[in-house]
Amino acid sequence: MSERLLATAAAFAGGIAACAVFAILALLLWLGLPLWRDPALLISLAGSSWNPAAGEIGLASMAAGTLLLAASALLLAYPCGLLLALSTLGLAPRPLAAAMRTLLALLSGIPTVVYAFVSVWLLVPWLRDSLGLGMGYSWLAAALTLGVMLTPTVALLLSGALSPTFTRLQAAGDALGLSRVQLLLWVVLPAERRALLSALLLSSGRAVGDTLIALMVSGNAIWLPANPTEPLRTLTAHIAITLAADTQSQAYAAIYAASLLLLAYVALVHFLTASLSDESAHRH
Amino acid sequence: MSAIRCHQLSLAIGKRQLLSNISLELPGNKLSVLLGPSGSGKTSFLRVLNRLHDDTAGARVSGELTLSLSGQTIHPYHHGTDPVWLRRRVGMVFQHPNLLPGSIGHNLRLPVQLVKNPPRAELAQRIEAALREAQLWDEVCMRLDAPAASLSGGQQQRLCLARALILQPEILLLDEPTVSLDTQASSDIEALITSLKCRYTLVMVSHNPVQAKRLADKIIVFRDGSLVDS
Amino acid sequence: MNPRTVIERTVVALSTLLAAAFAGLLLLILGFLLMGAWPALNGRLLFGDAPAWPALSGQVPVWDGLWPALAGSLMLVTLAIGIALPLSIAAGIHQAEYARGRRGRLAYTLVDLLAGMPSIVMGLTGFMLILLLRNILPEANTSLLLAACCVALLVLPYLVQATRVSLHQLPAELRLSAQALGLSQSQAILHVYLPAASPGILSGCILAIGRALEDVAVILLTGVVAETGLPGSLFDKFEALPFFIMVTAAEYRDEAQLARAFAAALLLMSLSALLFATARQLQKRSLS
Repeated sequence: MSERLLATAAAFAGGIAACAVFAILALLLWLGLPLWRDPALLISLAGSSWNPAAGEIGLASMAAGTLLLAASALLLAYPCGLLLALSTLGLAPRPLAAAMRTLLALLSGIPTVVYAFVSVWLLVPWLRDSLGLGMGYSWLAAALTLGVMLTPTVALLLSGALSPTFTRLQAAGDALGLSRVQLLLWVVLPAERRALLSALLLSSGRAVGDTLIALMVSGNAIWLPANPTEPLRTLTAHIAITLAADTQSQAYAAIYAASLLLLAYVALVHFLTASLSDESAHRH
Repeated sequence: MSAIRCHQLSLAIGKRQLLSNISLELPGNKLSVLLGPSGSGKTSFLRVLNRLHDDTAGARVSGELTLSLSGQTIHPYHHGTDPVWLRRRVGMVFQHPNLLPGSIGHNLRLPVQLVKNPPRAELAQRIEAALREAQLWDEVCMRLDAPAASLSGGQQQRLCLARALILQPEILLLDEPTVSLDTQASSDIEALITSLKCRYTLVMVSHNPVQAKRLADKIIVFRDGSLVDS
Repeated sequence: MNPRTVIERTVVALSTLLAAAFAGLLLLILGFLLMGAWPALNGRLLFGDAPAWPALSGQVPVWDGLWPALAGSLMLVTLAIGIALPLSIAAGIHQAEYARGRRGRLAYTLVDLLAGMPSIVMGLTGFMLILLLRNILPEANTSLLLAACCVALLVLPYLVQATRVSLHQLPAELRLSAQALGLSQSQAILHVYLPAASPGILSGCILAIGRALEDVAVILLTGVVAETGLPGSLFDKFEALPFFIMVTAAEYRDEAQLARAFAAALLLMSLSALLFATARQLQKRSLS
């Protein structure tokens, strides 16, 4: 009796957790119906002009903004994260490496809103007043903030992915007379190419999904920036801003389309990561 | 009469054939020792007896196996046999002491409460009886609430034995119970096993022929998943 | 010099430099927040001019203190974890112990997908639910309960993963001995596996609390507002610490509010650090 009870309760909860994704998808599709039925509006989605009152709901510049911001933030966060991961693994002297891990854990624990807040009162005024770069709220400011916020997370992710291989090979490396940096650079990193790539994919998902830093620091202009000192708007920030300001159904419909775009990216990242780990599982 | 009887018993996990065509009879209330080098199938055979391969992916058992439990003939692999019911009558002690996280008392209390659910007053008696039977009572009676991990290796193994005995099995499977112990602790356990064989049907795995000769009423030799002579 | 040697030396130098830079960054953030928060760090931080005891229970409104935002955040987190935890432990048990084969893999995949979703989409989900509900209940509106449900949805996949992984990592011997003792599957799960996996689940839970506490994107669309005082019921709007910080970054009434926002950021950061430290401690203990 209790045997069945636990199995049923667990299956029920498992079902809810598994169906949540479908429920969200169904809501987006259902509420977006007016949009899917209107070919003219659908075509305007791919454009870059946002004027819901005139029936133009182009998301192209926001989608490009999302990719620009995520890519530039990763350009900062990924190499820095990799270097920091290497230093916690063995480049730094032992007691320092332990302190580094604590530091990274502390930094990755700082709430996103705190990073954005500090950026608004410290980085933005500095860019504006000391460097004279326009308003300060810009692609550059957002990319720097997002990059700095992602770095400790990337570092912890990579050090977790690399440390088993490193530990396994350490004795062999010592016996060959390799220094730690040689072992890490020329043995561990090439052996873990897939882990490096899947960490990159995973953190790109985090970068694309960020709302707060984009919303608070990027300036949120609805056109594409000509250079990094100009503002841009991401899809996530666009969702937040539109729901706060607009009440027109066309604008809402575009929000559902924007969310579907984000979900498509998340799914793409997930399946790429999964196929990477599948292949490596086949190899070993 | 024989307590365990099998005919053409085979075990395969995936494509690997671990046991092939084992036919043997093991006597009741005696100690049978399964002897052989490591990887010869002794432990696999032992685990067939209480259906411990059930959850292993791709494991298939074929052939006939009958146990005689409380005067009845049981077919462990027949459809109607509940593996949980079977394992409550066929106790097992592993190579290394497999303690549950928690205190000494908890290790005995939890299984007996879940399996037999005796009245409270009887619980303490049962615990004492099992610990006495495993010759551990004098050493731990004052500290049943201490963590089980604080015991020495030999004591932990005797606690595992007590934990199996408290469920009042009829058959007791012992998987190299002395392999991780020093000489003194091993001979304690051996003496204990000898004292148990008048009350239980014991099947013990060993890789040590000297130990087998010293203790066994019957010796079965395994090599590469088959019997050598019996 | 050998080009490889050049690369090796550069990497060592750069990584040392970066480590120092990020240590400096932590100090900079802390120092900057402390400096900005200094004027507000006094006995009036939480309740302002309102008397403490009546304000604590919401009888007296607090206009210039952090208490309503702090209390709102605490209520939100408690509710969200209260909803998510039982559900996700049961779901984690299902995935680790019952689900097999193709359906099991599908369940893993769906929960992992949920974990990757941007939080703003979770907020939008709550918003869409209200739009639908209004067809039946015209006065349905965003509220504390709705926000808590959406935050629960946000942390649910992390908790399911933590439960699943902790159960998977149990030593095989523990499973064998529970089976050999004749415990049924549900007995083994409830009395042996779950207690043994509990440190891992608990540390996952603490990390989930941290996520729920710092989130803004979800509550932004599901019922948080800048000034309302303590919520009187589950169906009221509420304030939250991270939202207060975000709003003040865009506009503020006076210098005192700005200083309070700095103090709020400091408070939020310390709470997060405390949660992280506890979780790490638990993980260490469960490994040893």
